[in-house]
Amino acid sequence: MKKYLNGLDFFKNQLAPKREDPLTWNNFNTRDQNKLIDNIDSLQGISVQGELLSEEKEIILKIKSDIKDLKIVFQDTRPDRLDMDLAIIFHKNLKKLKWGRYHAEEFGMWRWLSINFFLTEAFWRWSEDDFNKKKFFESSRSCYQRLVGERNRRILPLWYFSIGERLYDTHFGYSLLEKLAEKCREKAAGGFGNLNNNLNDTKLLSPNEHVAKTMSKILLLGDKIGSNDEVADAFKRYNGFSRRLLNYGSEVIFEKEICLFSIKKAS
Amino acid sequence: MSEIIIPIEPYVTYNDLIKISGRIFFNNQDIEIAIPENRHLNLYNYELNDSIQIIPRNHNLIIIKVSLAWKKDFQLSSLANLLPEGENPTEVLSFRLQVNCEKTRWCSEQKKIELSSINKMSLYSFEIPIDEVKNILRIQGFIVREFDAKGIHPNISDSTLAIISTSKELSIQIDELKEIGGEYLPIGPGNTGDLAFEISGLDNPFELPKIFYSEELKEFLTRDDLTSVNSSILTSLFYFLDRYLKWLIFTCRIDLNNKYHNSLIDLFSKYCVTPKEEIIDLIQKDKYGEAQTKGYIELSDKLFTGIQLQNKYKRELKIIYKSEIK
Repeated sequence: MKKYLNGLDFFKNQLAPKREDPLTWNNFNTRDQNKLIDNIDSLQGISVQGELLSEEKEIILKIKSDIKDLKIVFQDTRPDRLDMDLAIIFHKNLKKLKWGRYHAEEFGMWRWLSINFFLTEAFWRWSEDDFNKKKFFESSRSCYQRLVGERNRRILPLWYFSIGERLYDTHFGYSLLEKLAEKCREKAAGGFGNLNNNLNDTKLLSPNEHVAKTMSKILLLGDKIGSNDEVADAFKRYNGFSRRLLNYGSEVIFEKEICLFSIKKAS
Repeated sequence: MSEIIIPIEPYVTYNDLIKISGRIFFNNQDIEIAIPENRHLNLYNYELNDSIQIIPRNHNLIIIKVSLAWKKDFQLSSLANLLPEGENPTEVLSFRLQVNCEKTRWCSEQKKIELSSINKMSLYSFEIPIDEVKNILRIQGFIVREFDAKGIHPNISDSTLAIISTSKELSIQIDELKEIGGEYLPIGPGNTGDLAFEISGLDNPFELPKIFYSEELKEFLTRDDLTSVNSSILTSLFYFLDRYLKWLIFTCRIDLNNKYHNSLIDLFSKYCVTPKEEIIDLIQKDKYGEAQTKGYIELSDKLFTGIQLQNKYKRELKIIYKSEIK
């Protein structure tokens, strides 16, 4: 796989859309992948290393084709409600290249992959809504933040691959992710956004991703579906227990002490 | 709305009761390496007696075998002081052992060991898949409560999985750490006039100073295949790090929640083979006072040798010199 040798700051300095300069919005409000690549390849000091192997290209094209199919099957569903499906698509395909967590740390590689192949997907998932409302700066900024990565771990393909790494299980495969995907599609509300943020942004070191799996299950697959605030609070609570070794705690502990639902007053 | 602060007293703990020791093995190879007494093993390019080098990333699995031993003269019954009256430590407590990698967020299975079975003879084995980990592995152990206690017990741990003792962890470096210009010290091109290098922000007590190199040198210094670049960075390292050490001790207003401050302390703790707590203590002494100045000189001396040993400086120089002869 190819990778950029330049770090995050290089891209931030040269590419981040600036509100006061509409010219900087154009890169990410275009839907022309080749034009974007040309613009980025011509940046002063840009440096790329490595080769794109044929099997890697095949997998990337398969991911793009799977996403197209997903959009057709769920054409009436909002793109953000398909995040769990997208995580399955990215993870399942990239695992065929035997990528593991070691590869997740190669941010230059993820950035190259993202910029060179996933403009359409980034625009559809993160920017189209604002673009249609003529909020061109906001649209451009969201596309940049996910395509190039305002933060390394938010680069689009890495973001979805990481969710897959957290919730895939060697014994049960994608069953948890599939159940979450189903719930995510059918519920207009629910804290799936904050779940995904926390799966990417927090360390949650635990055997076989026990914490990520247990919290996802309790918060979003039970009778009650946790709201965005309830999900965020649960992760804050878990991270607050610094003097307890809860990373392999029982489901009961998580239910009683961490994944708490607020009691709504009867109207 | 008024705000009331309710102080919660921390419960009593007694750390470092169980000593963790470890040995490293590679599958299908007759190699065994002990983690030294300072609890850190640099496995990256580790040289065996017959001058064969180990490159961990060339192996699929690293096997770590861990043994445990009670601290000398410690009696199991003393743990009763950390429990509510009437509880038996061997029934209520256990030791939990795990290996993890913060960088990739991977964590091994967690072994739960009865306290009564802890002795030097038992070995606990972990298989670490190399594709799941990067940079540093940490072997951690904790004595925890396995059950909630009945009743309320101020100053005593009474919740399930409360940690009542943390053992000193072992660490294993498996990859080359890109510390200069990478994870710890900010370095980049800039307008340095006639200078090749310049360090700016040395009087700012909050933010890490930044190393700038001349824009004219950028095309060379951003390459990692030039031996002259490698040798000039290697030699500059002593001054850069010593200057950062001075900044950290004499200028920095330490904020322990600041990840950059913490990373820098970690770096000096490793190179100076000095516990983090001692460095923090030194930073908090009277600025430029006798104790602080003396402490700096001692650390600076340790840094000079530490940089050489941790980076295998002699060997790196030898490689550079040899390549020029070819």
